[in-house]
This record gives sequence, C-alpha cells and structure tokens, in this order.
Amino acid sequence: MNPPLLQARGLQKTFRLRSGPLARSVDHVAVDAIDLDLAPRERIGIVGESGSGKSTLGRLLLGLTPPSAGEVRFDGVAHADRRPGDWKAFRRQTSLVQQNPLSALNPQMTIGQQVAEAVWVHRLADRHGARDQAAAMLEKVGLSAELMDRFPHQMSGGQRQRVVIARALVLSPRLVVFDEAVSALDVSVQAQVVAILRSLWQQLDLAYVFITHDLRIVRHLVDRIAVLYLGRVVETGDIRSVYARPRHPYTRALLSSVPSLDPRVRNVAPPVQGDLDPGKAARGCAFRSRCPLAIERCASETPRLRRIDQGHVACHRAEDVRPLPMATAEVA
Amino acid sequence: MFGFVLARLLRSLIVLFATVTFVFIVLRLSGDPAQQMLSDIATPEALAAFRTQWGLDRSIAEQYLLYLANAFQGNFGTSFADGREVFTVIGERVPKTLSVTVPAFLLTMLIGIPAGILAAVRRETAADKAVMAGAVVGYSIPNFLLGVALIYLFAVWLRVLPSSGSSTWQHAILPVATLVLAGAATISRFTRSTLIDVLGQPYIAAARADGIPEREIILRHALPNAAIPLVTMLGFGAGGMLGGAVFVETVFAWPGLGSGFVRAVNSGDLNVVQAMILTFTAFMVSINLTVDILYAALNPKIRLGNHDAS
Amino acid sequence: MSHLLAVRGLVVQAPARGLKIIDGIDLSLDRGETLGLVGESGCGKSMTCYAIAGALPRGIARTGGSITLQDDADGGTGSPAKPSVAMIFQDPTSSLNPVHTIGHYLESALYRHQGLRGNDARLEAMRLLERVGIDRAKSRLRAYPHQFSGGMNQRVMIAHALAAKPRLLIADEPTTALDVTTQAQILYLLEELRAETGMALLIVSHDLGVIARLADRAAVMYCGKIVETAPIGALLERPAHPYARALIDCMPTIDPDDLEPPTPIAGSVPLLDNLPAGCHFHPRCDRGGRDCVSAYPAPARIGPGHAASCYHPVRP
Repeated sequence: MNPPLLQARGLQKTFRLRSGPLARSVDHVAVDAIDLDLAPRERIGIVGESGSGKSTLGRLLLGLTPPSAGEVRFDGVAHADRRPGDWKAFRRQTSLVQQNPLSALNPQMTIGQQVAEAVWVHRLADRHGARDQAAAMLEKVGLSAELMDRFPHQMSGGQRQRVVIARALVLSPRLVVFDEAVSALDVSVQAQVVAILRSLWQQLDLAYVFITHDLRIVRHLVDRIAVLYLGRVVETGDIRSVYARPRHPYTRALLSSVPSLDPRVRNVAPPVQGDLDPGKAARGCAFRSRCPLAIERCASETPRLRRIDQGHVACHRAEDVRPLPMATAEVA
Repeated sequence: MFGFVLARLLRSLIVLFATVTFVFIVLRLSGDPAQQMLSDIATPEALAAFRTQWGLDRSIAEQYLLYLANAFQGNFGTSFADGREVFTVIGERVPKTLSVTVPAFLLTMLIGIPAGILAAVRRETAADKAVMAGAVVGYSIPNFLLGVALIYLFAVWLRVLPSSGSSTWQHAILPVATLVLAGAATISRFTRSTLIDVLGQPYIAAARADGIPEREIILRHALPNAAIPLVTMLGFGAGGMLGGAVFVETVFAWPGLGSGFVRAVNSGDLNVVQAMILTFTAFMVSINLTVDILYAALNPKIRLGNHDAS
Repeated sequence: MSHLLAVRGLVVQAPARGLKIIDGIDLSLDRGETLGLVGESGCGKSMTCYAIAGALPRGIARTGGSITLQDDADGGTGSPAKPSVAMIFQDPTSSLNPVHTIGHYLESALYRHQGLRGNDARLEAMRLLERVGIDRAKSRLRAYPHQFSGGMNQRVMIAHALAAKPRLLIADEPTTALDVTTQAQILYLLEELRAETGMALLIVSHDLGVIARLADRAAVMYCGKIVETAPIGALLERPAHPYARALIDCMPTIDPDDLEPPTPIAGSVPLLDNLPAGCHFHPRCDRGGRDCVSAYPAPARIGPGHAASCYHPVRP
C-alpha cells in the first residue's frame, strides 16, 4: 500500500467558551480522538450535521488551526514540525473550498485575476503565463475564457462556485478540503459541480476530503466515508458498503432521513428526534439520548471503533442495527 | 449583565489612570515650563525660584507620585498663570462647555435620527433626497469654516445674533448650531443606511408576510435592531462634540474647556493642561462606558450569550 | 365547490425595470390539499409565495391577474382573506427578529390574530410551542432566536404561523437550511399539522425529494411560468415537460443500486432581462424543434390533472 499522503492521529480540538466576561468558561470538545489516513488520489467523505465538528476537522487537517492534542502529517511531515518556509510549500500543495462562493471571491477583482493570482503569488509563472493557466483551468471547470473579465456579481451561484474550484485547483494541489462546497447550491447546479469534480479528479493527481451534511451528493464523489457525531467518528468504511448496510444507528438514521423520490414513501416518521446535544458528550455514547437502540451500557461505556465486515463502527449494538428497508417496503 | 458592567467599569478606570501617567510624562519631557512661563529674559535665579515654587526641581518620579497623591484628593495644583486652584478653573469652564455640547447633542439626535428614519422609509423619494442633500452639505463643511460662515451671516450681515461671548442664551445659538449641523448630518446618514440594511433582513420580510402594518414594522421590528449600531455611532457623535467644542469655543470666544485648553497650551500652563486632558478623557471614557452598556442592553446576543435560556 | 386558493394569470413585475418576475401563472389549491412548487433558484417560486401572502417586497408589484382566497367562513366574498394565510421561510434564524424573545413573538401574533393577551396569550403560546415539539416551553418563551438551533427556530416559526389559525400555510424552502435529520422532523411535523387542522399547504423547494414527501400535486416553475402541473406520482413517474424530467434526472439518490451520478441540466437559468424567445427552456433542452423558438407553448393536457407547456412533451 502507498504511504499515506495525509495522516491524522488522536486529533483533538477543544474550544473554551465563555458566556460573558466574568462567566466561568466551559470546554467544548469539537473534535475528539480522530484518526484518519488518506492515500494519494484517495477521496474521503466526512459526513455530519452542523455542530458535529466536521469543519473544525477540515481546518485541523490543513493546519489552519492548531490541534489541542494529536498530530497531522502531510507527506510524512508533521504540521507541528513545519517551519514558516515549509508552510508555503504545503499551502501550494493543498487547498480549501468553502461553502459560500460569493463571499469567497473578491468583488473587486475579475474572476480571471482571482484565479491567476494564485499562480503568480507562488511565482510559478509571470502574469501573462498565470493568465493562460487561469484560462485553461477555468476551461476545465466548464467556464469559457470569455468569462475571464467578468466580476463575481455578474455570475450565477453555480458559476461562482466553479470559479472557486478553479482557483483551488489551478496549482494542481495534491490535497483539497471541500467544506460544504455544494451545499448552498440548487440541486441542478450540484449535479453540474459533481460532474466537474468527477472529471477533474480523473485528470489530476488529487486526493480530497469532502465535508458535507448531504448524503446524496457525497456518495458520487468519494471512495470512503467517515460519519461524525459530536466530534467523534462513529462509523467509517467503503462508501458503497456503508450505504448498503449502515452499522451505526446514527448512520442509519441519516440515510433514512434523506427524502426519496418515490411518491409512495410519504409521511414517514422521522428516524431520530431532537438536535445534537453537546452537553451530554462527557461519558458513554454521545448519540444514546436520541438512539432507539440505547441500553445501559451505552451510558456507562464509551464505544470504541471496532471492525465489522469491511468497516469500523463505534457502537455497542452495531450487530442489532437493522438493514435499511427498500423504499417500497417502508410504505407498508 | 452585572459582571459585564463591572468589567467595563474597571477597564474605564485603567484607561483613566494610564492617561494620567502618559500625559504627565509627555508634558514633563516636552520643554521647560519655567522658561515658557517666564520668557527668555528671565534670570537664572528667577527660573530656579519658579521651579522650587512649583516643585519642578524634584525628579520626575517624585513629581509624579506627588501629583497622583494630590489628584486622588481632588487637588490638581494651581494654575501657573493666575495662581488659582486648577479645580476651580476647570469647574468654571465645564458647565460652559456642557451648556453648548449637551443641547447640541440632544438636537443632533432629535434632528438626525428622525431625518434618517424618514429618508430610509421614504427611500428614493423627494424627502430622502432632500435629507441626504442636507446631510452632504452639513457633512462636508468643516466645523470652523461653518462657524465663521454662520458668524458672517447672522452676526455681521443680518445682525440678529451675537458673534462672541457667553453672557446671554442668544450667544449659545450659533455655537450650538455649528455643532448640530455637522453632527446631525452624520447621524442622519448613518441612521438611514442602518435602517435600510435592517429593512432588508429576512425577519422584516417575515413580519410583512404576517400582515403587520408598515408603521409597526418600522417602530417595533426595525428600529430596535437599527438602534444597536446607532448607539455606537452616537457615542462617536458625543465624542466628536467635545472635539468640536475646541474649535467652536475658540471661534465664538466661548469660555469653555475647549477655548481654555487652547489658552493653557499656548501659555504653557502645565497643571491646567494636564487636568483638562484628564477631564476630556474622563468625558470620553464615560461616553464609551455608556455606549458599551447600552449596546449590551439593546443586544440580546451580548446580554445573554449563546446558551439556551432554559 | 370553489378552490380555497385560485390564482389566475398572475403577473408580478419590478415596475422600475419592467421585468416580469412572474408571467401569468395559474394555480389552485383545495382545502386540506398540499401543493408543491418546484424549480431552480430564480424561477419565481418565492415571489409567487409573497404575492399570495400579500407581502411582495418594496419595488415589486402585482400588475396583472387575480389571487382569490375563498374560505368557508367568509361566504365567498372573494377578497383576499389575509389572516387565514401564514408563511414560513427558508432561513428560520434570520427570519426571527433578533431583539424579540420567542414569547414576545408568539404572544404578539396571538394578540394580532386571536385577540389574546396577558396570561391567555402566554398559555396559548406555550401550548403552541409544545405542539410543534419544543419542550420546557415556559422557560423557552424567554429565550431569543440566537439561543436556538435552526431546527428549533423553524418550529418557532411554525408555532407562530399556527397562531394565525391559517387555512393556507405557505412554506418557502422550509428545510433547505437544515440538517437532514431535522428536515425529516420538520416535514413530518408539517404533514401532521396539515392533517390535524385541515389547512392547505403550499410547499416550495428546489429539492424534488422534499416535494415528493409532502405534496399531493406539484407545479414545476421555470422563468416565471408554470411549465407543468401534475399529481405528484404522475410527475415523478411520467414527467411530460423536458425541464421536469431534467429536474428529476439531476436528483441524486442514496439507492445503493443506482450507481450513476446525477445528470446535470445543461447551462443555467437565463436572466429575466435576457429570456430566450418562445419556450424559455429551449436553449437547455435536448428535444427542441423549430416551433420552440416561435411562440411560448400553451399548456396542453397530458392526463387527469396533468398539463404541460411543451410542443414536444416526453412520452413515457
């Protein structure tokens, strides 16, 4: 097996929250004991609801925020050992694409300038060459060179997100973190971006982490998936086997919450109640308050990731999680 | 909320203390007050006598500690110029300054805020354009030019108002008008843009969809939100009034802190300069404190933090 | 019996620029029925909602057509009975006024719509909160929107809508900003409340999955026009308009057997000031003929309750 491109061990991030200047501070564990390996050209999906810590994880992986514990290695070098000069080289090989394409683009610069900027900032070409590279990259995301001189406000949301992707990929990075990169887009535009990302991945030497709460989209974009709940990985495995046979009750709930296009599946009771409850994460399984399968052991003993079939699941009752019914069976 | 106020109060005191120290040191290092007061032809003996009289022959550290000890008891020394207590000198001038700036500030709010609201609510109409045209005029003419222009118009040409002095209430009209014109221009522009911003928020659309009358939407839904940034701006406005007072009092020969300050600086009256800076700082710090508290009181996100109230 | 809501030839414009945001649409909705309105961003779905709720933004006005809301109660006077329409929005947290408590928000609505005040209003507000699934209602009345999650705030918006005892609830992208498990909860709640109160529901979404879960019928909008209306089953299984079919094809699923990635719709929604002549969809359509550019196609009957505006409808 290839040596991992990206490796995280025991990654943890704690935020200190204070409700007022004199209030006692509370520690909030956003990311807790996460291990992750990513081989060159591998694609992993990080799935979780808002508050699951998925964005924090993405920022930790790119060294944009320092971990409270644990380490991240890229190409064998730990972020903690990187000197300022090394960071520049690291930044050239990595990229982050965030959710809101309008605020990610400078309204005062044309899209051509913004894509080219990345090239000449790293002194990889002169301005003329940078512009040519930008044009070629924009072409690859399906934006013709005629659009180079447009400003962001003159484009549709889908076009803007493609510009953001072009800017992220113009330096041929080896690792990109997509953080909710398509979530704000219409379904029809999401489909365009999915097609572009799939074709770009074919052409490039690119590994990526795709962070999302949307289980429908991520499926067509990654090889592996890790499901996050309150900062912990509760299930991870090959995308197809997790979707076909989720082993964690939370994964199953997420999958069965996705509305289906089958009009016979109507008025389906929600699979879980309530919201994420960060207050209850201290001991035991964090999901137990919402879990239909919870038993006493779930409160006393924190479940660890263990191997089941091809994947890993952190659930005492993984063996008792029922397979997802086919849509038609659910009608009855 | 109590903790919040306490923390801000503490911070204000620290700012005051730091100002005292900073001003003291800078003033001692910026020239010899004896020379300045007694002029170049003073004999060395006269200079020495002056220094002994005012304690200027001691080390700066010693002078500083002495000054602090006295200041805590409300004793800021005596004026080099006329030998009167600094406290009395300032005490005479503070009410004069307040009698111009307080009415000016109240009028600024009374004119600026409603004008801004009118312009925002009647956006793109003649009313909006009139308010904004007025604002541009008030905004772009500097204080001192405006003061001189007003003197020329009302005192010299029309001869309906006195141009300088402070003996009657009519004397206050031109200085107040000068301050209000500039202040109201800023406040009305800011009120307008803030309110327009708030009126574009989704919760306003939601209130409209709920059939709430437009008047109530403005008064109960939009204004409380617009008030939050506006309070900060009014704080700047109040601070600006004090700064403006320095110009305006000089132009109109109004015997307040501003003109007194200019005089004390020119004559090198160290104790007076120092105490006046402290007074200005105290005013600014109280304005900031008020703004901070009002800001938190108006904004539940600051007042309560993010935690679920239950 | 007449429809609860009848929209005829509705035209909504921004008069300053003369653009037709909504260009002559017809819609009807019966008591207790759920109608889904689906289409991409910028096709006029939200404006249709605002027009029906009588709350078009400033600078945008209804310039043609009629909106008739006819309730059993008012004996068919035909005037838009505003109090019986309530609306909820896409981003619940920013649709709630940040300086008002939840209690103030609900109680003022109860006063406005039902004349309740004081303790009566407070008790009813608590009952509404509990009805929409918010526990510890008493203490929650003192909370502010920023202290709640998006899902909780959407429940508050729904409670607020219920205070109007609506005969028609308009839900504009009610779950788009929410997580998938919360979405399932909110959709279920809406369906429960509809069944319980007998109100009609107009649900708007760009996500056909959301529409499929709740709607009895659906209308597909494109560029300010309705291009197809059909019972939901017919629409999903036998879409006639190429745009409706394209919307279905671009929907990703989680079906493990469906390995193909979603098919994108070519191009993007045209801007209102640059609408293609004839059928507005023809530049993105794979079925176009010469007639498509000549004139806008009139709606043609496809089946029972099923019509589409297309010269070359998709045959099953």
